[in-house]
Amino acid sequence: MSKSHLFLFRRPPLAGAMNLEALDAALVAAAFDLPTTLLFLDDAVLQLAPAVAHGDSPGKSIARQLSVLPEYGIDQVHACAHALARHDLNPAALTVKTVALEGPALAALIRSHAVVLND
Amino acid sequence: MPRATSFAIVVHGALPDSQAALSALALARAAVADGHQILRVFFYHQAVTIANALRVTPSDEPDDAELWLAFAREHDLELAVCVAAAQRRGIVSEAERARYALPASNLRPGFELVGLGQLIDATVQADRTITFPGRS
Repeated sequence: MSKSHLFLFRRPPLAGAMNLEALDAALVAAAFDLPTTLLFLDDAVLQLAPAVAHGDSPGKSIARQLSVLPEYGIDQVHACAHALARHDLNPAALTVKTVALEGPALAALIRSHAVVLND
Repeated sequence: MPRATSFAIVVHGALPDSQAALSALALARAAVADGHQILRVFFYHQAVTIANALRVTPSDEPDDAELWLAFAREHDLELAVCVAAAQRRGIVSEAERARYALPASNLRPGFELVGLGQLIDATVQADRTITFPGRS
């Protein structure tokens, strides 16, 4: 049985190469045909904001990387509802289809995965 | 006797910017002392700088690279370093020096540059995966 993998993202946009590297690891897990889920917490929810993802910030675009998620079979993207609200982000207006989760649901999501990797 | 647990250890920080590599080593030592197995240690993100042979550690500070190398020799352990993250941070093997026509190589002997597939393979094979984040 393939192990489910959950990748946690906590860092804000423009945190250097680490955001893209964390996403790379998730893509490799998906390429291994492992059930792969992404969870954005804290300031990392800003990575999903259209203004950030498509902005003129230097470096490789996170939007381009997020856009390939469906090609890798990653359709489970979640974000902390509290963090989204704190940054005034509407879950329906993010760059990828995202499910907002409250505290207990976040804990349940984490517990439901065999492997949890931090960013 | 309880069944031995196999661990994949993922390290995201190294000295002088993070204690993560030393904390990971403490966990590895405790696990082995308790009869468990370290399947693979994978250095990612900023932790790849541990494999920089040109890093000089002050004599009155711990050298996390040397400590890990000694532990790995003692327990026949692989010290895997993400090749892409290492290249970004200027750590290359002799093969990559030649490939990219760089003036020098600086991969510390005892560390091995590998792809991210080795990370995922370890998380699949191991009973437990433990990450040591680089942030302080």
